[in-house]
Amino acid sequence: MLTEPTSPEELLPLTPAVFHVLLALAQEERHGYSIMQEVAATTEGRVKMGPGTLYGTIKRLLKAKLIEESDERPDPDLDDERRRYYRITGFGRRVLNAEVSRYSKAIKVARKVGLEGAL
Amino acid sequence: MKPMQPLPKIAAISDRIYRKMLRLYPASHRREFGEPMAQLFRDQCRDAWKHGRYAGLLRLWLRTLPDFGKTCLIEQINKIERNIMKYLNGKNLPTALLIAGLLLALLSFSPFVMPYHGVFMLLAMASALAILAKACVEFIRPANEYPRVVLRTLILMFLYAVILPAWAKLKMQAGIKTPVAHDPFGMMLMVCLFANPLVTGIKILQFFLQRRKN
Repeated sequence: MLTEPTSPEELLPLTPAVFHVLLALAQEERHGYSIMQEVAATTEGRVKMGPGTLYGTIKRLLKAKLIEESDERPDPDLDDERRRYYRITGFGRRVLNAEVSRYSKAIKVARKVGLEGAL
Repeated sequence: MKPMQPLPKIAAISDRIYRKMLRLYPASHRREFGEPMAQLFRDQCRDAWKHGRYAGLLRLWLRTLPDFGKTCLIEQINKIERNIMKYLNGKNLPTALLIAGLLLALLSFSPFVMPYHGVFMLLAMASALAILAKACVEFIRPANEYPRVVLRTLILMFLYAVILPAWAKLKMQAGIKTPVAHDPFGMMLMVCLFANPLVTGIKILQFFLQRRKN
């Protein structure tokens, strides 16, 4: 559950939606639609989140303090001022790092056993 | 601010329908995320229209509807769960259950109830279930509330020490002479009643174990 975390490991494994949202925000601050487009782009369209899933995930991440709302606008002239921007927190980055490290270990094991997908 | 292109009529209708559908989410979720969700869907409509016209919008709806249904249900369930937990975490709930149990027990002695054995049994069982519910709620409450749990249990045991023989007498008068130990009704009463001192013992133990650990 993404509530009252104390250490990053307690929150692992992350759900695909949480992982991809954090990954999208690890690069830069984004608004909802930008997160959705980034997730679709990085997963080559395999993960397509609807507004319900995206904002449900954002709600849980905000509650767990893995992300926070940002007051800054990357370029106010180029964007709709009503959009809400989100950014990853320090704790969110640690959780993402821990998850990536978990994936790396799994890939190492997969390589050892000669799984083609990991080569 | 970048001026947004107006939505084509069909996309604008889609946007309006989606906004209306958002009312199915719990009010708290809608207040917090309703506007961004609607804005996101509007952006999606604009893109879908740009890339696929009517077919694009149709594909968007086919993707959005299952997502909407699933997340709406999840948010509603979460809301119910939060409300239940909020209610269960209410400090006065065990006291309210104790009072309810006692009132039901007292009601079973009413002269209007006594002639009807079925009603009497129903009230006695409801009273027993209320005190069992009290024990269950106290079980999930924090251990540091143990003095209140002890006090409530003492009151409960004292009052039921008076009520139980009275009930037994009433049953005898009604012509049911089975010993309490072999009587499912009596056994149920005993289980519900003794769940309370058991929970009290657990809470005291839990409190001292936690204190020792800290």
